[in-house]
Formats: sequence, structure tokens, C-alpha cells
Amino acid sequence: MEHSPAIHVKGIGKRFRSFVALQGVDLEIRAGELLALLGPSGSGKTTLLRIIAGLEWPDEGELLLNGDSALRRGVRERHIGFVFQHYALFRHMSVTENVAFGLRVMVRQRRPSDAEIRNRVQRLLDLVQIGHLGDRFPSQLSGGERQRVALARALAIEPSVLLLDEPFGALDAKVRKELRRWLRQLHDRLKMTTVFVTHDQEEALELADRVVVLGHGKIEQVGTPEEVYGAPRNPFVFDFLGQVNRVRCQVRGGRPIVPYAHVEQLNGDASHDGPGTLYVRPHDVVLQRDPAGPAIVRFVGVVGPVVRLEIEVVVGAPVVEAEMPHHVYAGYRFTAGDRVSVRFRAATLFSDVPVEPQVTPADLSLQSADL
Amino acid sequence: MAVGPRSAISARTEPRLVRWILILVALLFVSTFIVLPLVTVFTEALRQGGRAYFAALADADARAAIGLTLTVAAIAVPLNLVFGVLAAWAIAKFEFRGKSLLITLIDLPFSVSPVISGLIYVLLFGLQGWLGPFLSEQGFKIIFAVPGIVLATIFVTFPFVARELIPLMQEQGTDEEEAALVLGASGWQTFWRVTLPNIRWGLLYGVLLCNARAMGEFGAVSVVSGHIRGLTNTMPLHVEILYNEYNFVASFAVASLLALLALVTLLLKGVIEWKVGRGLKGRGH
Repeated sequence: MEHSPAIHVKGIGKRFRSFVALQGVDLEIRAGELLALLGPSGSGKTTLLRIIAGLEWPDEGELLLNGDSALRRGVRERHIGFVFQHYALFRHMSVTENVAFGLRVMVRQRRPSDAEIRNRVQRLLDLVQIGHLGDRFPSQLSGGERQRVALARALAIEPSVLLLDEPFGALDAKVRKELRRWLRQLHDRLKMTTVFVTHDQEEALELADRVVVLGHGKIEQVGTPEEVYGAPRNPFVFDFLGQVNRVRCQVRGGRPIVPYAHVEQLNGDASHDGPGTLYVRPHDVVLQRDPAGPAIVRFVGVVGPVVRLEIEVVVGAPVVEAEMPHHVYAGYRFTAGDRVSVRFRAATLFSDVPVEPQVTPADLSLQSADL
Repeated sequence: MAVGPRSAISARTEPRLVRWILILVALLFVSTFIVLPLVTVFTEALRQGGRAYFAALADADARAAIGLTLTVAAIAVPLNLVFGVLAAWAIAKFEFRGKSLLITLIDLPFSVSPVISGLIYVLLFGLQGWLGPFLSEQGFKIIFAVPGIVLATIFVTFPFVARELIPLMQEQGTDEEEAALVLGASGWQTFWRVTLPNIRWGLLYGVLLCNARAMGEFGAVSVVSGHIRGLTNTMPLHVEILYNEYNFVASFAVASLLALLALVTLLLKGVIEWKVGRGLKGRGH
């Protein structure tokens, strides 16, 4: 058990007619971890989840659950807990009957007695903190309560893996936050391998042990929240995770040339001369009051945890966004129309030229010389 | 902007005259074409008192007609129930080639005159038809016999259940079925425990309409029946024969049973609609 991952996805591919949903996806999900599948709509994240559950079949590749091939087993035999995006509660059953369903449909030899079922259902309802709602029907519950019922129902069959499809998608912001924290605590308690799908980066980064960023049916990056946010591997991940400024530049002699800004710490590969794009987080944009500066403050937003400013660097070009804490802003008091100089504390360069550069010994030596 | 609410009110209140005229026309229309004939059926049936009424119903031919109608409905309705559920299931829950063709075909009996439907069966199973000679050699008699009446009735009534269920099942989607499967239920358990309870009211509604039509069908049955008294006469056909023989009391007595069926159907329909409406407002049962 220690060696084989709880879920092992090997070269999975899936297409719907001409649409490629997944392409050569490899992923190892460790036992007991809380993993997020993060991506925009159409990235294939839900398809991957449904393939793991057995609700969808891949065109190619292999899927191992606890080391055993799962593709030969149907959805019934996989013993997986699945929470649907819109909960899919049985509308004609009470909450209790919903949760009991998975136990009631077991073959007679394995089915617990009625009293045992009643006991287990009550324990589960208490676990998800809706012990008093057993007699209600789904239509009489709030979104958050439905979510809890769906979770209790999935847990009732004591699954080896818990899969959640956009678990908080249909909830309002306040409930969402509360339920997120609660799910984290529940996971810490149950230590069950849990995979959830989300398009909300904040949700993924806050909740998951590891995040899998998906785009166009491929895995773009896998890592801890710090890794994917702090060191995005490509422009897609950069764009998708958090706010970012995209600044066009020319790379010459290992340095990106931006006419109006100084780059302090450069990440990424600057070994190829030519056009490129710098990715700069708003909090890495540093402004200094400068009557001769190249940029003009166009907007200052002081509402919220940080002060947000928009800077026009070149007339007609997209504005650059900057963020600073209130106490820093208090020292400057920028207003719209102020001239400023701009520094990028940190920026990551992605060259336009080679997507997958052919690495030759000459390139390597050049690179190391530059570094 | 300020004009908005005012004009909205006036849009409803000002043409009071128009409103009353519309209501009056509707009432007049309904009473002339629906209530009046219904009343006539019962007054004509009871014109010579209750004794004559029940005597007409107790007549051997009338009893045979009632029996045949019940038999036909008892065969056609369950078959169409099963067929309707299967067709609706296939159409609502799966994607396949020829789906729209299937939907069109299900609608066909609605768009074809019942007499034509009957004729199709005569052409197929009659003595000069495609399959008739072969079947009569085997000793099967379809046309001018009960099997023909059953077939024609099935054909005419098969859209009712399917039409009622398709939009319902499409709206409900496949989420709950998938949830049941993930929880370990078999296809059979999923159908009985999840799908069927979810469509029960729509199904009942469809069955009710299907039954009303199966018992009341005239055109298609008339063509294939042969009007043999006591053998192949259903209630609607029997009503016609009696009427043509100037036996008005007996004719209207049998007709009153069909009218009663219609009223009961209407009542049950109302009950189901009320139930479903309540269910939508958040009550489970």
C-alpha cells in the first residue's frame, strides 16, 4: 500500500467526437492526500474525475486503484464515493433514505440490518452536522445542507476514495468559505484520499495538499499550492493562478528590455534573443513618485485589503496593475495623474521563440555563462 | 421610467370591456360545445327513467361491448405503458443516431387520421394484405377480430405515455441515476428505486390519457372491427349501431358510460396536477 498510489492515472486519453477532452494524462494520487484538479471549463478536469469514478471510459490509457486495474470494473464495483456538482440527491427520498441508499442496495449477504443502517445513517448525519434534518426532503434544504447530505451519502458505503465535482460551485460566497474550512477539517479527521474538481484557484490553493492544473486536456503542472503559485511552469498556469500583468519585451543578451521598467529579479529562460513576455504579479510592481517618470497613475482603489493602482505605461497599451499594502500606500498617497517610475521586484520571462527548445551543449554553456 | 408601473397597471385594467367579452366568449363556447352535449347525453339516456337505462346496459350485446372495451384497454394500456417508459428512457437519457426519427415516429399516430391507422392494419393483415394470407393459413384471424382491434388501439394510443414522459425525464437528467450506480445499485434497482418514483405522476397522467383514448377510440377500431355484434363491437361502435337503429335510450345509456369515464379521467387528472403542484412547492409526498 505504501508504494502504490491510491489512484494511478497512466496515459489516459478521451475524446468526444472531434473534441479532445483528455490527452496523455499521467498522474499519481497518494493515499490520504487532498488533491485539487484545477482548470478552466473545457480543460477536462471533470472528465478525468468521471473516468476515475467509472462514469466515463477512456479511449486509451490505464487506471489503477490501489494498484489494481480499475478499467475492467464497472462503476458499481469500484466502491468510490462521488459527490455530484448539483448533488443529485434523490428528490423523492428523505435525507435519511438518501444516505441509507448505498447500504440498502447492497446484496443481502453484505447488507447491514435495518437497525444497523439506521445507526450508521445517524452517525453520518451527525458527522456532517445535520443530525436533526433526517426527515426533511432535499427540496426543503439549503444548498449547504444538500452538500452535506450528498457527502454523507457518499461516505455511507465506506469508499476507498472520495471524489467531488465542483463541491462548492453552487453555493454563495459565505457558505462556500465556511464549508471549505469544514471539508478540510473533515479530511484531516478521516484521512481519506480525496480528489475535488474546481475552476476556482483560490479554492484549490487554500484547500488542497497538491494542485493539478489542467488546460486543454493536458496536465500543465502538478505541485503544492506554493509551487504552482510561486513558480508557475508556463504562461497558462501563470494566467490561470492569480492576477498577473503580461508585459511584452525584447530579450537581448540574456536580459529582457522593457523601456519603462527595471526588472530586479528575473526568473525563466532568457537565453533566446527576440520577443518575449514578462509575467509580473501586481504585488511585485513597485512604484516611486517621479515627475520625470515614464508612467502615469490612472486609477487608485483603496477599498479592500490592499490598495490597487492602474498604471498607464504607454499610451494605448494595456494598463499595468500594481498592488501595495495600505501602510506602504500611506507613505506615497498617489492620486490619478501622478507621474511615477516603475520597478518589477520579480518577473518571469517566457520567450516567444522556442516552445520546446532543442537543448544542445552549446546552448547549455551559453545559459550557464549568462547565469 | 416612471411610466412603467402605471402603464403596466393600465394594461391590465383599462380594456375591461375586452376582458369581459373574452371571458363571455370562452364561457359560451365551452358550454355550447362541451357542457351542453354532456348534459344531453345524460338526459337522453335517462329519458325513460332509470329502469330503461339499466335495462339497456344489461343487454347482452351491450355487456359484450363493455367487456370487449375493457379487454382491449387492459391489453393496450399496459403494453403502451411499458413501451412508453422504454422509449422515453431511451430518448431522454441516451444520445444515439436516429433519435429525432424515433421522436417523429412516436408522434405519427397523432398526425395520422385514425381511419388511416385502421386501414394500415387492414392492408397489412387483411385477406388481401401482405401478411393476411400467411396468417390465415396458420389459423390466425386479425382483421374483423379482437386482435385487430387491440393492434389498432395500441397504434392510436401509443404516443400518450411516451409524450408525457420524454420532457419530464429530459428535465430530470441522468444525475440521480448516476448517483445510484456509484452507490452500488444495479440497473434494475436504479430503475425501481430512483427512476420510476421520479416519474410516477407523469406516468400515471400518461396512462390515464392513454386509457381514456383506448376506451373511446372509434375511427381506427371501426375500420378493423367488422361490427359483429356481441363479438367485435366496442362501446363506441355499439353506441353508433344503436343510434342508427333509432334505439336512442340504449345508445345514450352506453354513451353515458363513456362520458362518465371522461369525467372520472378529468377528475383524476386534476388530482394528479394538484399533487404534482404540491410536490414542486417542496413537499415530498
